[in-house]
Amino acid sequence: MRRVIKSYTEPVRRAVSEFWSEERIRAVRKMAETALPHIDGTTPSVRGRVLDKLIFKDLRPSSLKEALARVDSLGVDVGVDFFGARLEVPLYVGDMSFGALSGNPNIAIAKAVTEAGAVAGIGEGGLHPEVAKYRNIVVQWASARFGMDLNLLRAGLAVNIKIGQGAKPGIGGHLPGRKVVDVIAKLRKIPVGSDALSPAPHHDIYSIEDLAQRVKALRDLSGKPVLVKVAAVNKISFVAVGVARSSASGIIIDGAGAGTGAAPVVTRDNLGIPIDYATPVVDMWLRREGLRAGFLVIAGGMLATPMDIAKIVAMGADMANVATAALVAMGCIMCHSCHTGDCPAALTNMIGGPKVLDIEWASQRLVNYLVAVKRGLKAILYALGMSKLSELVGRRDLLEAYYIDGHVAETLGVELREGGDVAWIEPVKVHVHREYYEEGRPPITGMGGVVPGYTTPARRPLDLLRIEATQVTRPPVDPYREGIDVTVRVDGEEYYTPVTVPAADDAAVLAAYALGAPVYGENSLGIKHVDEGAVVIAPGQDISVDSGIVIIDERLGGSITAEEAVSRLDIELRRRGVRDRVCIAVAGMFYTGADVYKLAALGADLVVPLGIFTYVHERVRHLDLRARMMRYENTIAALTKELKLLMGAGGVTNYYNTLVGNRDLLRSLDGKIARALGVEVAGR
Amino acid sequence: MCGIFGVFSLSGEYISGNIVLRALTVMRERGTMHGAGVALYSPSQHVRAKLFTYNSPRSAAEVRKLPGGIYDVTMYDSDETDDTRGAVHGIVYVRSKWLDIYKVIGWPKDLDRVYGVSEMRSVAWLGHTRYPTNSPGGLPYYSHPFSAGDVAIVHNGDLSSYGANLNLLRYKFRYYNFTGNDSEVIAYLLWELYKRYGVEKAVEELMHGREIRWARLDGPYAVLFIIGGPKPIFGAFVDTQHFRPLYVGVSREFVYAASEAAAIKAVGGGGVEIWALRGGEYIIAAGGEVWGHYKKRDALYHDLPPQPPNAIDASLYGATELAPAIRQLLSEMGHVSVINVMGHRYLGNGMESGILKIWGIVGNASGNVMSGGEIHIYGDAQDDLGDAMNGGLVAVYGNVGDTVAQAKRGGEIYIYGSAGNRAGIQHRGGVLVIGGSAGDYLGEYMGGGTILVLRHTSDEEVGRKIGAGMVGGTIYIRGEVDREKIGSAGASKAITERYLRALRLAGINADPGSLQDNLRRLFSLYHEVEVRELTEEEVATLTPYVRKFNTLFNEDASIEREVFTIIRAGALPRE
Repeated sequence: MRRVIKSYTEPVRRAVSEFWSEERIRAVRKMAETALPHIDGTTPSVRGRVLDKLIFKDLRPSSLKEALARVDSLGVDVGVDFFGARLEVPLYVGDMSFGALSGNPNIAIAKAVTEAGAVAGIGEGGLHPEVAKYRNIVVQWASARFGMDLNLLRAGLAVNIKIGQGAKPGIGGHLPGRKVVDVIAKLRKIPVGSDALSPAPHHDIYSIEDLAQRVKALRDLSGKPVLVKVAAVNKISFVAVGVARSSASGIIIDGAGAGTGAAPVVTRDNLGIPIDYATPVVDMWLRREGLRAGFLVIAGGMLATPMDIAKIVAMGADMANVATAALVAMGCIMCHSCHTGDCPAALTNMIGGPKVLDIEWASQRLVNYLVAVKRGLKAILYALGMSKLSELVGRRDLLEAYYIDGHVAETLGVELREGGDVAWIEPVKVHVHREYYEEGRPPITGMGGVVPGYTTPARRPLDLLRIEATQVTRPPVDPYREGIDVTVRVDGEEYYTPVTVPAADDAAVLAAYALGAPVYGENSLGIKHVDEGAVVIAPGQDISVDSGIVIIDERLGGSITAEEAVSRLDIELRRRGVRDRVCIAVAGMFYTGADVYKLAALGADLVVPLGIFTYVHERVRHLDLRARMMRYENTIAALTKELKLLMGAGGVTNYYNTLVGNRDLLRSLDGKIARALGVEVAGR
Repeated sequence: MCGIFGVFSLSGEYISGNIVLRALTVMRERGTMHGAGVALYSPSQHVRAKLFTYNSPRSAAEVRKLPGGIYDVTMYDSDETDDTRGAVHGIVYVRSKWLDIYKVIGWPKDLDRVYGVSEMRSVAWLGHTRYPTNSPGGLPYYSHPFSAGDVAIVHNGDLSSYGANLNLLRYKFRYYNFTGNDSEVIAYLLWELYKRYGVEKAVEELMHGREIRWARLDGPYAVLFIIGGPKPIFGAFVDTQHFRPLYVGVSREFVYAASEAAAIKAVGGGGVEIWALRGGEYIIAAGGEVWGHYKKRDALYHDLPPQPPNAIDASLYGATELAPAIRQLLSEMGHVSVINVMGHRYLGNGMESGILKIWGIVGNASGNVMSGGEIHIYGDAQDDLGDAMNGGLVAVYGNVGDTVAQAKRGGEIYIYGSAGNRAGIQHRGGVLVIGGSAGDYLGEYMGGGTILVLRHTSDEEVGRKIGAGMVGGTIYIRGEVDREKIGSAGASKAITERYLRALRLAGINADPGSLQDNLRRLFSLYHEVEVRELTEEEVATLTPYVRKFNTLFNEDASIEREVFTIIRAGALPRE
C-alpha cells in the first residue's frame, strides 16, 4: 500500500546556514496554507544575498500595512502578458521534468499555475499526458531531446530552449539511473537504470549564430514564441545581448543557488553568479544596445517572498522564475536528497516507490502560495505608489544598498547608503564527502540554496570567487566523454594532474606515482618530489627568482593569504618576463577541485590540497598499504575530475596553457577580495 | 562568431571583391547588421596605416567621415613620422605594406556602399559577416578582419584562452593596445609566431602550444588568414574539437574557405571540389602551391538523377523562406522536388509524410523532428541533419556535416559518403548507415538503435572517442578499430604501465582483473568491444539496411565475411 502524502513534515534543521533556512521554509508554508503574503526584507541584512542588503528607499511600513489590509480591493495590476495569455501572477514555475519529479508533482504544478494564472515550464523529459491537459505550460527543447516530437512542440504557450541552469552552468541535466524506471526509460528512450545525461552543450549550438539558427528552426516548426533559458554566468551580459539578437522572445536567467535534482557539489558551490548580480547588468546592457523593449526577462534563483520578487523586478526583470519555493510550498523539507530517489515529501522520489503525492493537496498549496505572492506584490506596488508591475521594472533608483562595497554597488547600478563587505567569512569545519576517497568521483547533491560566502559562511577569500561557465557563446566540454588535458610540465617532467600529493604516507606517494601526480615532500621510496631544490616561502614573503620552482606554503605563516600571494607572484614574474621559466606551487588547506582551479587561474602551476589529504590520511591510517593507496588514488582522481568538470564548464580544454594565470575566468562576489586577487567583480 | 569566407588565386588571376560579397551574402543567416569587413592583398609602395579616430587629423592621405563622429584615416609612412599612433590619436586597424582592410558597422553590402569593395581586385581575400559575442556591435573597430604586422585574420568562434593569450601578448611580446575583442589576439599571435617559426609551425603552435606557453588557442575557432609579403600566403585552420564549421574548396585556379559549403558552391561553380576540414586540420596556399595537414573528402555521387523541369527553384527563396514553402506544397501535393538549393535551412523539418527531393547543398538543421516520409538529397548536407528524428527516411547522395542524426529516436538515414564529427550523437532508435567513414565522437552518448559504418565509399579510419558515454545500442564499423580510439580512454597505455610500476615498487601483486577494475573506476571506462566477423543473426538483422543502401546508391557493399568492430556499452557508467 503506497502512502499518500498530503501534509507537511518538519523541515530539516541544520548547523550551517543556507538560504533555505527553517524560518524561510516556514514562511513559504504559511503563505501556502493561508494565501496571505509574508512580508520580509524591509530592513537591510548584514549577511546574505545582495537582495537582503537592498531596501526600497521610500517604502513606508504604514502604507504597506494599510495596503495589506485591503489588498484584494487595491487597483493594482501585477499581471504580465505572456504570449497570448494574460498572467495574473508574474511567476514562471521553472522547468522541473517528469522524471526529476515523480509525476504527481508535475501534474499538481501544471494544474496550480493554470488555476492561479501563473505559468510553468515542464522541463526536459517528455510530455506527461496529464500535464498536457493544462494550458499554462511552456515546453522545453534541451540538449538530450528527451521525449521530443511534434506533439510536444505544439503543446503549451511557448517553447523554451534550455541552455543551462543556475545550479550547474555548463553542465548538462542529470537524472540518476536509479530514477530511470520503466516509464521514464520508455519516454526518454534509454535503457532502464542508466543515467539520463543531457550533454553539456547542445551539439548544434556552439555559438550565438547557432542559437539564432535553432530559435528560428523551432519557431518555424512550432509556430510558437521561443524563450531561451540560461544560467547566470560571469559573462551573462554578453549572453543576454546575444540571445536578444537571436530573435528569441525572451530569456530566463537562472542564478547561482537555484535548485537542481542532481548536481556535483563543486559546481553548485563555484559556478555562475547570483541572480541579483546578473539581473541589473543584463537590464543595463539590453537597454544600452537597444534590445530591451518587447523582450521578456525572467529572473530566478533563490527567490521566495513577494519582496524578493519586487526587488528583482526593480533590479531589471519583467517576471520571476521560482521552482524551489514551489516545491517548498508543496512540502519539500530541504534534505538535499533529490538525486537519491528517496524524497520523503514524495516530490522527487523514484516513481513506483512507497510514497505518492496527493495532487489536490499539493496543487492547492501551490495555488495559495501564488496568490499570496500576488497579494504581497500588489501591496508593495501600492505602497510605492504604482498601479502596474511594468512601472517597477528596472527602477534601481528606488533601491538603496547597505553592507556592500562601492565597486559592487556601482556594478549593480544601485545607490550605496552604508558600505560593508559581501564576503561572509568565518571559520567553518569542512565536510569531506566520502565519494572523494571511497569512490573516486565528485559528490552529487540535490537542491541549491548554497553560495559560499554569501548565503553560507566561507572559509577564505578563495571561496568568494566564481568560476566562468559558458552559455551559448561557446560550448562547454563534457570532461567524462571529451578531451580535457590537465598535464603540467615542470622541470622536464610531465605530470598527468596538477593535484600534488603531500608525502605524509608512503601509500599516498605510491598513489601519486601510479597516477602521474606530483609529490610534495621527501619520501622513503625515493620518488622525485617537487620541493627538491625548490624555494619554499611563506605567503607574502619577498623572493627574487628567475627560474626553478617556488612553493608558497601557508603552513609557514605569512603576511597575506596564500591565494593573494599566488596572484601577486604570478603577475610579478610576468612583469619581469620570467614567468615561463618558473613553476609556482601552492600548499594550503585546500579541499576540492574548485580550489585547484581557482589557484591555477590566479597563477599556480601546481596545487597541494593539504586539507583533503590530511583528512584522508587520518581516516585511513588503520588500513593496510594497498587499501590506503586506493583511497589516495580515489582522492587524486576525484579532485582531478572536479577540476576537469569546472574547466569543461567554461570550455577550457587545456590546463597548462589556457587556465594557469587566466584571471579572466574568475569573478569575485566581493569588491575587496576582487582587488586583492586581481580579478573583476561579478557582473563586470 | 559569424560567417567567414576567403579565396586565393593560384594562377595569379585577380579575383573581384564582388565574389567575396556574394559569398558572404549566401551566409547572411550567420551575420547581423553589426559588422562586416574584408582584407585583401594590396601591395603599396610605402607602409600604409589605417586608423579609426575621433578627431579629423590635419595631415593624412585620406580621411573619411563615418556615422557616429568617427573618422577613417589613411596615412603613409613616407609622409608621417615612424609612429602614426603618436601623431594621431586613434585605433590602428591595419599597418602594412601589403595588406588593406575595410570594415563597417553593417551588412557586407555596406562595404560596397561605403568603400566600393565590389570594384576592387586582388589575388587574396578574406571576408567576414559578424554576429557580435564579446564586444559591442556599435563601433567599426570591433568588426573583423583584425590585423597585426603583415597578418590579417577573420575568426568564427569564441576563445576561452583569451585571458591567457592576452597575458602572453602583454608580458612577453609587449603589446598594450587591445580593443577587448577576443579575435584580435589571433592576429597578434600569428604574426609573432610567423616571424619566429614560419607559417606552418605558427599554425601548429596556435593549435597545440608545444613550444611557447600561453600561445595555444582554446575554445571554438575557425580562422582564415593572409600573410603579406612579396608572395602572399593564404591559410585556414579549425580548432581540434571542430566546434566551428570550416569548408574548403579547391579548383585548378583557386582555393576557397568558408563557414558554409554553400558559400563556396555559390561562387565557385562546377570545377571546385568542396569538403569540410576536420578538427585540427589546416590548409595553406602560396604561389601556385597548396599544402597542409588535411585529407580531401569530397564524395559526390556521380550518377545523380536529372533535375525535373517542374521543380521549385530554391534560388528564388531566402535561406529560411524555402522551408515553409516546401511544407505547404508537401501538404498539398505529397511530392515535391527542389533544385538550386544553396544552404537553405530547416528543409523537411516536422515532415510526417510525402517525398521531398532536393538538388544542391542542404543547409543546417534540416530533416529535424521528422516522423515520416522520405527526403532524398542529391548533393551534400551541412550540419545537424535529422535531429530528433522519430521516423521516415533520409538519403544523402554525398557527404554530411557534423552532428547528423542527433538524438534520433527512429527512422533510417543513409549517407553515400562520409559524416563529420558526432555522427549519431545520442542516437536512440532506428538506423544510421554511413557508406564512407566518420569523424570524432561517433555515437557519443548513444542510447539505442544501430549505427553501421561501411567504409565502402571511403575506407578512411573513423575518428577518436568513438561511443564516448554510450549507454545503449550498437555501433558496427567495418575493419579493426584501435581500442584507444573507443570511449574517453582516460587510461592510456602509459598510465597502465606507470600504475603497474607503482605496484611493483610497493611489492604488491595485483591480479590483472582487479587492476582493470580499478582503472575502470578511476577513469570511467565501460565499453564492450569485439573485433570479428558478424554472426548469422547479425547479418540477418543488418542485411535489409545494407540492401537498401545498395539499392539507393547503386552500390555493392557487403557485410558477410568481413571483419567488423562491434561496440556496445559495458557496465553502466556511474557519474
